[in-house]
Amino acid sequence: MGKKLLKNYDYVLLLTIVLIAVFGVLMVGSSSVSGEVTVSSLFSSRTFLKQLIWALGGLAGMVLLSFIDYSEWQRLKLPIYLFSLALLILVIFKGTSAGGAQRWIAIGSFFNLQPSELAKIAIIITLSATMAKEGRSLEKWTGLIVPILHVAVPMLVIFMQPDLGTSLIFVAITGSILFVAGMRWLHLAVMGAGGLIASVLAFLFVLKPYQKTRLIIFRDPWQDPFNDGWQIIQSKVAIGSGQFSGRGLFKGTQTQLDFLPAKNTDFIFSVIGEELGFLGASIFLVIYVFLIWQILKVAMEAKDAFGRYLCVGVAAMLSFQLLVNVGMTISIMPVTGLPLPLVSYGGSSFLTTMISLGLVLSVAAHKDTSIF
Amino acid sequence: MKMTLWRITLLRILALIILAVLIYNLFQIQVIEGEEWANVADNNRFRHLVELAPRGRIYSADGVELAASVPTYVVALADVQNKDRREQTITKLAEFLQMEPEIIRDKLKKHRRKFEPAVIATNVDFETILQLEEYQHLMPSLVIQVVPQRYYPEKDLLANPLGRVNEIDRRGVEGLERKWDEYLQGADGFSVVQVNVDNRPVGDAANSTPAVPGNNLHLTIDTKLQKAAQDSLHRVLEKLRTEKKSKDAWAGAVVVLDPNTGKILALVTEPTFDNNHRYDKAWWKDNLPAEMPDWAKKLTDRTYQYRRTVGSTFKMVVGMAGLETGAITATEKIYAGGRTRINNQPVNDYGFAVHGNVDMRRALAVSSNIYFGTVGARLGSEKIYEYIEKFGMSREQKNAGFDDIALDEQSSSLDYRLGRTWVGGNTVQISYGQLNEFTALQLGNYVSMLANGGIHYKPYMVEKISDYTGKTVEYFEPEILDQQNFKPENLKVIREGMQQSAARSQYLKNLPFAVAGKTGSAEHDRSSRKNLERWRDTHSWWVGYAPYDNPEIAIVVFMEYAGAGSRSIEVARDIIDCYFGLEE
Repeated sequence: MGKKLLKNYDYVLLLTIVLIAVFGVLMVGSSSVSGEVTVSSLFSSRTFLKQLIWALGGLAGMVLLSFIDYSEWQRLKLPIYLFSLALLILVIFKGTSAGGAQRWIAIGSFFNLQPSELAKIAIIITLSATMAKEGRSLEKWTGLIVPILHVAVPMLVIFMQPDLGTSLIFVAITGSILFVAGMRWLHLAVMGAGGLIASVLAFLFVLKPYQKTRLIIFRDPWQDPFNDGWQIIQSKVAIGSGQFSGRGLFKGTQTQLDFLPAKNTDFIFSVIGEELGFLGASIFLVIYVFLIWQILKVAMEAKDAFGRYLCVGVAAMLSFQLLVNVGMTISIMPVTGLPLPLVSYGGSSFLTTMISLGLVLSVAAHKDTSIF
Repeated sequence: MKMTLWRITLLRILALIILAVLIYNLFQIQVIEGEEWANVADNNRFRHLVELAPRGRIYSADGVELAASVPTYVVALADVQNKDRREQTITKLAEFLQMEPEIIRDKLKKHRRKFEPAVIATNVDFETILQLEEYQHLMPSLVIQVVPQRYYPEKDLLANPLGRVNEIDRRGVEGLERKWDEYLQGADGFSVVQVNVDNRPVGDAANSTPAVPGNNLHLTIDTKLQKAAQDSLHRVLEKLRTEKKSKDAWAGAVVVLDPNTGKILALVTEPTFDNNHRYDKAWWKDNLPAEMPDWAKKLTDRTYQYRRTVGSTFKMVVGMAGLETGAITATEKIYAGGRTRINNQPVNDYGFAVHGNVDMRRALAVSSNIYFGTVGARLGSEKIYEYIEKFGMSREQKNAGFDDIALDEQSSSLDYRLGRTWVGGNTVQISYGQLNEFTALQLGNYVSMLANGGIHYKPYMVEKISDYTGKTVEYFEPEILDQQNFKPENLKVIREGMQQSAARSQYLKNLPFAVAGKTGSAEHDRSSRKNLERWRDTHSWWVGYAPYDNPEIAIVVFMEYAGAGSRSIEVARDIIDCYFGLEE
């Protein structure tokens, strides 16, 4: 198997991932060091070092994971599902709260586990496994019941935390997998419409006031420039002031003078926009979309439905987060607190992304060469 | 299978659409609106701080600081967008300043120029500033500014000519402060400081221009003399009132000039006021006697902003004109019999005194209106006005050319010819100083010209301008505006007459030198004679110079409604004593 695996290994994909990850670490460094950024100040930043370790460890783990035949995971569907659900429920009782939401479980002092992040990959694996089961058909309405229930349970728990952004990722993942699995257009349209109505109802009756405000303020952040609108304005100021060619790496004034909040996590793209300008930010986006493009190429070449669905799920997750996260920084999307995978500072997010990309690499490495 | 691949291709296209949407929006923000956002970023991070230049000082000739610049403290708040930090600052500051937080919030709301700190309190006392500085870390957006403010340490000394500075834009708006504003102002310093989100300065100030203090004015005024003249005038006026010699003796003026240069050595107006309270109604009410009438209690400077009939002090003009033109000789005698009519104008000498046959010298000594009315009638009004001009007292040249204070703040003489039908009697009346009105400063120049032989020096009080390091920037030499070729023998006659006049005064006895002078008791509102209620005494004038042989100072004393001119000599004596160091 070794030779075939190395021959099939998707080096372009691997290289793209490494490129983005290294870039991400650099940007986290830029936004975490206060004052002048030098090599020594970078390496004395705890945030930078942590992200560097995660990046190196994550990349290594990803490569290791890619050598394991992804088909193994299909059999572990139930334990994975139950374990992830258990963590999600645990966070409700033992979690650390921040910003009105309970999202983290502290593991030691170094790491805060965010179960909703792990749940994303768990859902991709288990839903893919469910859909890849022999004889499952989406021809009839009834075929949708099992997969939707499958996703709905963890999604609801996350929604209750509350973590609107992550629960919406579940919608994107599920929609994409079901779509590729052959869901009928009519069903898609009906569900889309249903989802829309449900969203409106949820907005009116379920969401907490702070969520509501955050959801709509992006349309007009100047309504409340000092509080809810602050992040959005400062982010737009940062990105806009980058202009065409940017202020230069480590030289963004919004970033370096701390005007930009959450600059190394949710608003990391604002740092990219300010310091590298339209040119750098566009190149970054092109590379990122190229990654998604390549993942979907792996999906097309996958030897079985499970592998295909895995890749589609990962691609959906990355696309959705890219759109929502970058969209948030340029205020075309509401502020949902979703990180930019591979780039934002944060262990759980990085870990999840690396596991999912490891699976994609595994699908690529274990593809059926007879396709060609 | 085929359908699946097609659907994945659709997803890939969707990813490209996401890319397109994001890049389109980025282009919009970064390239199209980029410059605007860059400006916002600059406003975010730059604080524009102004360092106000201390205004130049004004010194007297003897080095006394007449106008100083003292620092006052202004508490301001920089624009901070974080609500918590803002509120924390407001709450703490309100505590220290003992203000309602709502007032501070209101001031912040009304403040428009966001890149400049909003002023919360001015003139904050030093104790409070020390406290604020100690607890500055609790108030992240606090800015303490030093605002130099004008202060006049000598309070009422030279108050009027010094003028006033507008507290808001800190421009001189009256007097010397206005005329010399350009020099006194200095240049404000600016610095642009980069701050972080906590409003803490980061790094060095970019673009920093330090403030340059204004230049200093050095005046010709001698404060010792100024003070002596001011005190004497005040004392004599008060004495006249308390001794019930003149109920209206409230106001007056003194001009002391150096006849050899035109330097103004003293410029006194009475009543005076504390210039730190120039427009402070309460101060005026509390510090000037309640019984002082409103006509006296005004800001007018009676040396250069006020004209009055000058009475017999004018007679030397007519005397010089008569001698120079040959209308009369020094020795020709005219009979002064107490009262007569000249040009159909009734003329009488003071108290209807009969002086007999008097020549020029004697006529000056006894101040004969009949003599000078006769000479004036011989000369005709045109000749008299010609000599008024020769002595620098024309209406066109305000205060003999004095221009250290803006001309629009000065008064000029009243030319009685204007707008009236002239009759022969008017020529007689102006000959002994009625009808026409002059300023004290005009008389000062005129008597200086008699003392120096006809040189019209421009009267001036700003002698030197120095910069804040003390280096002389400009020095003003005496300036000759005009020179009359009076015959020395004619001048000598007039001077001798003046000397004889002065010698008659009890106040000018026991001096180590002779003095030349001439009194004037000027009638004014003729109609009021019939109305006893409104009747006021004549204006009391004295002009002169000392010493007679070698003039060093020319003096004009004016006491409004104070009666006989001889009363003014008491003030002149105090000035002479002070200048020559003759006080006991």
